[in-house]
Parts: sequence; structure tokens; C-alpha cells
Amino acid sequence: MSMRYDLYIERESPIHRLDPRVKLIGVALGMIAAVLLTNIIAQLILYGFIITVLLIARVTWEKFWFAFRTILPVSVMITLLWPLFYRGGHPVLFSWGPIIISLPSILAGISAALRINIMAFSAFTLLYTTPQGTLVRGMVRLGLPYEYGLSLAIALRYIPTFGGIILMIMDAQKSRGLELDKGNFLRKTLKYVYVMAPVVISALRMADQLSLAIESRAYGAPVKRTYLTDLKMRLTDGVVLALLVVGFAGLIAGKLVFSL
Amino acid sequence: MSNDQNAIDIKQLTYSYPTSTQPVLKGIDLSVRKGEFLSIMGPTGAGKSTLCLTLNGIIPQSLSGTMQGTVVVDGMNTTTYGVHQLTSKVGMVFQEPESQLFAMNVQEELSFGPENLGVPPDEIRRRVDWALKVVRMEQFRMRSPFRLSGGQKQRVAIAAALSMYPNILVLDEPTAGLDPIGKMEVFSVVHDLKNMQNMTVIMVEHESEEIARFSDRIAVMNDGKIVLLGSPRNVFSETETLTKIGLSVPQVCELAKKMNDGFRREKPYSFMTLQEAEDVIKKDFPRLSSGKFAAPNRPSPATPTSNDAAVQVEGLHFEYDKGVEVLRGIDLTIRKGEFVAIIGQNGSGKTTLVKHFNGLLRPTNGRILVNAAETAQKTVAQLSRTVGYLFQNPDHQIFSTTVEDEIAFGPKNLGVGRDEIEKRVAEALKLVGLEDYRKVPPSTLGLGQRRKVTLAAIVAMKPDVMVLDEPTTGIDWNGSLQLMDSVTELNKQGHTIVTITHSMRVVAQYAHRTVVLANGKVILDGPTREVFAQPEILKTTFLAPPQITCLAQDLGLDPKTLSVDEFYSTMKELGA
Repeated sequence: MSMRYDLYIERESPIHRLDPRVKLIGVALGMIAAVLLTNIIAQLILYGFIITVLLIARVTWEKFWFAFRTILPVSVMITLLWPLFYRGGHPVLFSWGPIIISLPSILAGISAALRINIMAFSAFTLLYTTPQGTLVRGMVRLGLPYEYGLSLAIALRYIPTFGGIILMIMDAQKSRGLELDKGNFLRKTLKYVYVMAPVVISALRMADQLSLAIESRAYGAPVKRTYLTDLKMRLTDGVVLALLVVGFAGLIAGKLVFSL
Repeated sequence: MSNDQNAIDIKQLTYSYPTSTQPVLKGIDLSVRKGEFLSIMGPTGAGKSTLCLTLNGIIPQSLSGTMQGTVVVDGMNTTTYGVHQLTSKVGMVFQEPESQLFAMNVQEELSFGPENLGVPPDEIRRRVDWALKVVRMEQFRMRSPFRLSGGQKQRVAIAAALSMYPNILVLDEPTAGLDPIGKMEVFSVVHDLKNMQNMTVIMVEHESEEIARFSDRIAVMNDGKIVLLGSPRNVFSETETLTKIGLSVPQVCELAKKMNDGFRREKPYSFMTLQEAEDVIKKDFPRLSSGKFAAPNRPSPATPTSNDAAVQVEGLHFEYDKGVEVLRGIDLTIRKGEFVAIIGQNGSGKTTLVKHFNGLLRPTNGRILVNAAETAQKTVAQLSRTVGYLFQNPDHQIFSTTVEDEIAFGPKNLGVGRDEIEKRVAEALKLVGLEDYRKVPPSTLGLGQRRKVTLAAIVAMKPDVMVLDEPTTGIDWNGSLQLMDSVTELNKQGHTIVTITHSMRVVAQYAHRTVVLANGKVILDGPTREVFAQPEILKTTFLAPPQITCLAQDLGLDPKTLSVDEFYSTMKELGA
């Protein structure tokens, strides 16, 4: 009955071993590039690069499909709708009343969809190859205040717990004769009050106890915090970071010089 | 002045929470020697947890309120030193594993404290290694808390406190929510701490037999005061006082009391452990243990007259994930009017089994009949008319602003008329003794009372069958008795009762019939008396009959003895 909400895939791979800070910076650069680049070829190069990284990370086809499927509806919608709203450009391929569809508008649609795909796949690469704890530690070492890092880590840690509690509460209320799936949309939504109220009460009780436990372990002591396993940049991490920066610079230069 | 030999000195401690003017602690005086093992017992609401929180300064520094008097731990006054400074003197372990393990894995959990204190990494590593070794969890270092059993989680919680190198460890009901194996694991670790690490241990606990074995002293609290303080022998000889405030004493202590009242010897009997009782009785009553006696044939508790099945389970198999079978072929018939206990370790399939009775789970193979009708086509809500289900944690269903609304929710869902609802609410309130709490918000009540509210909420739906999942877990002995007495009353009215429980005393006292599960199969099923008479089979799944039954069996007396009264009358009948 174990529920896993985190996407991390336990594997041995160079990508898994990479310092989380390098991965975080890499993803940030990928996202910026995705926003800046408008040329489809440049986008395809970047997309291909991310797919290659996922292959090196030995991600299974199943997980590829999961990532793809998640953004598929958005991709399709953007590709189809973009030409309807972006009506300039030549050559015009089709026109019917107010609907004018041109080649540039179709390409712009594909480009926009690619942009979303690049962003999503960068994020999936990070989450597939980095355990949540390591990810949070990376963020803290990149400057996120520890308090926020801890809150984030605790939030991630308790997602499955609350998932379980919600299911249990639904079971408890169904056992008291509550028909959760009956009635129209409004009625159904209102019925979830009977589920959400106990969830909130349970959450508050838990939060009270949790804060006692955290405080009992010296949280907030006015000394500089140490870390048992601190992140260490290896030579490989440095080289990869440098390559990522160079690659990013290359793409941007390409955009400026050749207006990619 | 505080004494150097003392780990803890509490003087005239009075405290009230910021939300209330009523003090929770009323003039506590208590000193604990270094290396001492002190157990604290007391009914719910006596102030035990509050007292624990004063020991590392959380009261009054974080939870403000009004505090008078002084608390000194290891020479440090808790009002002059910060909580973070006190944490390396006093380690805290709480009741709920789920709300004190917040890290992604065991190692992170253990390093959290020392990291906060700025301990150098090498030193943290040494401490983590040591703490894991003490609680025997070395091989689980990188394990996520989701993949640990209850007992393992509590051992991690203990280790997380130990990694701060405290001299004093405070445990607030660490075993309350655990199964028998989990309890054993935690007690054995705590025992080691006392014997091998010379730690001062303060433990709040309900399990009186374990308390008798481990403690140097026991403090009994009631209504914010310490009412008894002394060695286990002294405290447990005060059976009357303890029973009056609703606490359980080990059954051998009850027996000693009965023997003293009955035999009027010059030197009164006093037993602390099973072994001690056995030795003394063997010596003083050689005829009893000679093995030459006719075991009096005791009738099993009145079984129902009906032979109709209330719940019939046929060839039930169930798997959550493909290939992982939780129930592996269960056939079970529960007759109308029976009172059945289901026992076994966590993971043996108890909850999974009973969740099939009202359709919360559906068989992978096999079928379930309720009142001779198949359940497959019915929704949980439909089945709720015939099968009521009391969940373990009352917080998982309470949502109303008043107790009466909470109880009326079920009947309303069933479409019961207003006058009838009013009548049922009144009856249900009366049954559980909460008439005075009609208009009170249920979430503000204590755990025992919240559970009574949820029982009443099921009762008002008038189901034929009531399934109770660990109804007495986490509540004190008196609360357990009150709740189970209400359940017995329902049984007498004709309701069929099925209860999951870890308390063998509850089983012995209330259940006609007992079903033992292990690894998804029924390994024993029969009248409770017969089931407890087979300790060898129970042992295979780490269960043991109640203490008094064990004593009878060890002495070669009637192996079907279920209560202290029965044991004592056997003694008399055999001319002791």
C-alpha cells in the first residue's frame, strides 16, 4: 500500500552522481534558454540534449512516456491553438473568414510547444535523478535560507502521509453512509467538506506535535549549523558546470549572431 | 539547593496553559537521582505529558502559560537556559512516530539535532554510529521512515534523541501505538539504556507489567499531583488507590492482594513479576504445583444462541499490489450476536480482513456475505446500514462543531427521520456516558472521549455488526474499561461485535471468541479460553496470553484460566 509521490528513480549513473547544485544551475540555464530561443532548430538541439541526458541517466521508456504524457495535452493544445490567434505572416496556407493560417504561425505554434517540452523535461530530469533531500540541500547551499529549505523538505516528506490520511478519512466517512460520488458537481464538492475538515484538524494536531519534536532537537540554536554530509564539488562537477555554461553561451551567441 | 547527585529537581511546580486558568500541574515536588529509571503512570489528563515538557524548557519558554516553582535538570534551571542548551541534557521521545520523524531517511533524522548545535561532521558521524548501534538499527541507516515498522520508528526516535548525547532521556508513552513486537523492541532498547549506558530515564507508560520489571521508582499522577511515589513493590501494593484512579496493576500484584486478603498471613505476599509469583507459590503451596489435581471445568463465556452467520468469509485472498498477497485464503464465519476479537501483529492482515466486511476493500479472490447477502454489488455507504466501522484514530472522522451533530451525521446520511435521529442521538450519548457533552465541540475532548463520540456516531446508525479497529489503543485502563463496557452493552442488545486489539487483557475480559492472524492466515480460532490455552502456537507469532493465564500454565494449573478471580478460586478449590 506504499504510495510514492516523489519522482526520483534510484539508479547508478553519472547524472545521478552530479552535484545537485550543478543540476539546479543546469536546469535554470535550460529554462532561460527555452524562453529566449525562438528558432526551432536551436530548440530541437536543446531538446535533443536533454533527452540525451535522460538516456545517460538510464531512465526507462516508461518514465519517458510518463513525462511526455504529462505535458502531451498542453503540447497539443498549444500547437493547435497558436495558429488561430497568431494570424500574421506569409505564406498564407489557408483562410476562411476570420481564420487565417500561415506557415510562420504553424511554426510559431510548434516552437511554443517545444518550449514547454524543454522546460518540463529539464524539470523531470532534475527530479528523476535527484533525491528530494539532496535537492533541498543543493538549494540551501545555493543561498536558500535553511529555514525555508527545512520547510520545503518537511512539506515534501509529509505529502504521502497526508495522502494516506485523506484516503483514510474518505473511508471513515463512507463507512458512515456518506455517498461521496453521488449528486451533481456542486453537491459532490460540498460533501468533501466532511473530508477536508478532519484533514485540517489532523494536520493541526500533527503540526503541534511536530513543532515540539523539532524544538526538542535544538532547532534554532544560535550557533552556526553544521552538516553531516556536505556537498562537495568534484572536478567532474566543475567541468560539467563549465560545459553547461559554455553551451548556454553558445546558444545565446548563436541567437545574437545568427538570430537562431 | 539542588543536590549534585540528582539529575532532576522539581520544586513546587505549578503550571497552567495560556488558554486556561485551571492549572494542569499543581505543586509537583520530585527529585530523580542520576542513573535512576522513573516511570510515571496516571490516567489521561493527569498532567504527565505536561510534566515531560517542563523538563527540557519547552514549558515555559515556547508554550508560555503561567509557571511557578523551579525545574532544575543537571544543575541547569530551565527558565535561565534556552531550550537548545537543555536539549543536550534532556532527550525527548514522543508517542506518535509519524509526527516526530520528519527527515527523508534515518541518518538525516539522527544528524538533525547535532547539526543544529554546530557539532563538527566527524563528531556527528561518531554519534550517529553509536546511537544506531544502541537501538540496533545500523542496517537501516539510509531507510526512509515510510519503510519502517512502528517499533523501528520509535527506536529511530530514541536514537535521534541519543545523538545529542543527553544524560537524561524522557519518553512520553513511547509504546502506546505499537503492536506487541514493537513494544518488546522498544522496552528492550530502553532497558539497555538504563543498564549499559547509565542513562537517567523518565518514562510515561501504561503497561504496568513492563513498568514493574524496569523501574527503580514509580510516580503515580492524578489531577496534576503526584499521589504515589516509591518502588514498584510499594506502589503496586496500593492496588485500591490505583484502581480508584483507574489504573491497571500487573495481574500478579492483584493476585498477591487477593491472597493477602484471603489467607491473612503474617508476612504479606508481594509479587512483581511472573517469575517471582511462580517461585513463591511453588514454595508455599507445593500441593498446587504437584500436578495432581482435577482441573475445574470452567464454562466458556455465554455464546450466542443463533447459528445464523452475520459475516461469512469464503476463500478470501487479497493483494494490494500485484503479487503481494496480504490475505492468503481466509475462511471465517462470524455468527449473529458473537463478540469476536481478532489479534495478531501489525502486517498480519487484521485491518485488511475487517475492511472487507463493509466493502472498503474488495476481494482479489473469494467472497464475503453479510447477513447471507453478497457484498460485491453494494457500495460502502449501502453496507454501512448493516456494518458499522470504528476507525482507530477518531480524528480521521470528527468534523462537527458539536458532539450531537457528529453523532447525527450517520443517521442523516441513511435518511433517518428527524424525530428518530433525535431519539438515537440521545440513546447513543447515554450509552457512552457523554450526555453532558452534547453541545461541546468534539475536537476539544481528550482522546478517550473523542473515541466514545465516534463509537456513539456508529451506534446511532444501528448497524447489526460493529467492527472496531483497536478501540482502546492510546487510552488509559479506566477509559478502556468504560469503552468496552459500552460495547458489551451493545453486544447484549444483540449487535455482533468484531474487534481488533493488541490488549490481551481486553480480549480475556470481553471476547467470547478469538481469531489469531499471522501472515495473512488464520492460525487459531476458537473460544478465547481455548485460544489462550495454546501458548506454543501464540508464541510463533510473538503473542502471549495474559499474565495470570501464563502463571496458571507455568504452575501446571488450569491452562484455561482467564482472570485473577478464577486463579484465586482455583487455589481455594484445591485447598491451598
